[in-house]
Amino acid sequence: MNESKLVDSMLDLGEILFTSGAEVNRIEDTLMRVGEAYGFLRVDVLTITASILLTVHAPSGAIITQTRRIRKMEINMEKVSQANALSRYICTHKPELEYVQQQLQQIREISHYSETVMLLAYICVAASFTVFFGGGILDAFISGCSAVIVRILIRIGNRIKMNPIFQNMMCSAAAGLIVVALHKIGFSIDADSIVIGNVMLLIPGLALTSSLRDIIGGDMITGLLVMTEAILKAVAIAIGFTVLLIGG
Amino acid sequence: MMGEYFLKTTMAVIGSLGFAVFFNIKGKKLLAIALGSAICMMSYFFAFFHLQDKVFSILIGAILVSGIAEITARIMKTPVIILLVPMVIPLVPGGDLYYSMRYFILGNTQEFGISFQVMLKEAAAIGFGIILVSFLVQVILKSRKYWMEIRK
Repeated sequence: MNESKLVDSMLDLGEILFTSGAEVNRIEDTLMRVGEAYGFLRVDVLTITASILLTVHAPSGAIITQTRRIRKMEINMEKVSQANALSRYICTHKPELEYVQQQLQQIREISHYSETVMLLAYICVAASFTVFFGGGILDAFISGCSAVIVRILIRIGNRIKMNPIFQNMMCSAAAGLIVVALHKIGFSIDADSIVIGNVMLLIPGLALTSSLRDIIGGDMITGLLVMTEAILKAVAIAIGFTVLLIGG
Repeated sequence: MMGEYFLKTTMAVIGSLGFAVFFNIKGKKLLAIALGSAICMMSYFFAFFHLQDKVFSILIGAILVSGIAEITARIMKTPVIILLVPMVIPLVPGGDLYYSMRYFILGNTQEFGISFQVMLKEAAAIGFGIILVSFLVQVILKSRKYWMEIRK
């Protein structure tokens, strides 16, 4: 078996896990197990926020090091789940390299929910959290409408590769502006619950949770970096909706 | 009173499912998330009803939901984080983040201090709950592994 190609495929697996939103601990653990399953004498993995470094000692005596730089993150838990299942299969069956590459390609092609479903989910989340935080039916409706605008802004932001922190600020400011505008026109709405509903859409829950789990797993560097980013995003959201408070 | 809790729990479950869709979670995991989220919110409201302490109730909810996520994930052979994040979302103190910011802008320093403190405590309670459970699970798994090795 071509060892260098195998290491490359292992990194592919790690990259899929990383870009789809798995914790560092899981990535390192998966690569260690896969490496051991293929008979490498020693596997050293280091994963920090945007890069994976992998060194293996092959039975033939060769020592191979490869790295992978990760730039784009797109959370997709179905990919994490499938990649996890593939690594379990590899550990028990040790399949041929071609099979692994083919499976990896299949995982890469896993599609996200369609745009319509995503939009519906945005509306549902914003509307339900508006009711959750004490809004009425009209508030839930307005919250759903502003969720559509938030989704459109996120799409545009992703298209032009906008800084995610600034993007969060812009989206929460937009939600605030809508509420201010409606309030000025004369609608009697509960501004607080509408904005909170939209804020919940933007809150970086995954980043906060996974960074906590990283820190407990002993990956301090990644945990702290991810947590800092999440806190910055939360602050950006808070700054964004001050538009509402100053304007209204 | 019960009606209000029921409504809020339903809304929280819809919110959790929405987040599951954002993360592209499919199939029967959605069902697990809906159930876990419902149990989480019900225990939170139950604790809140009896203790009248938001932070402590959130801690109880977070511990329970992390426990459910860890166990369900092992049964379904799927990473814990997939189930945990959507379930825990309704506990996130988005409301207090908003109110503390509002008091800050309005210049109401005293109210800002109170709600900001509450928000930090709530966030810490969620974090502590998750950390506590995943730490316990690690201890259990590691001691089981150690035990197996000794017996060999």
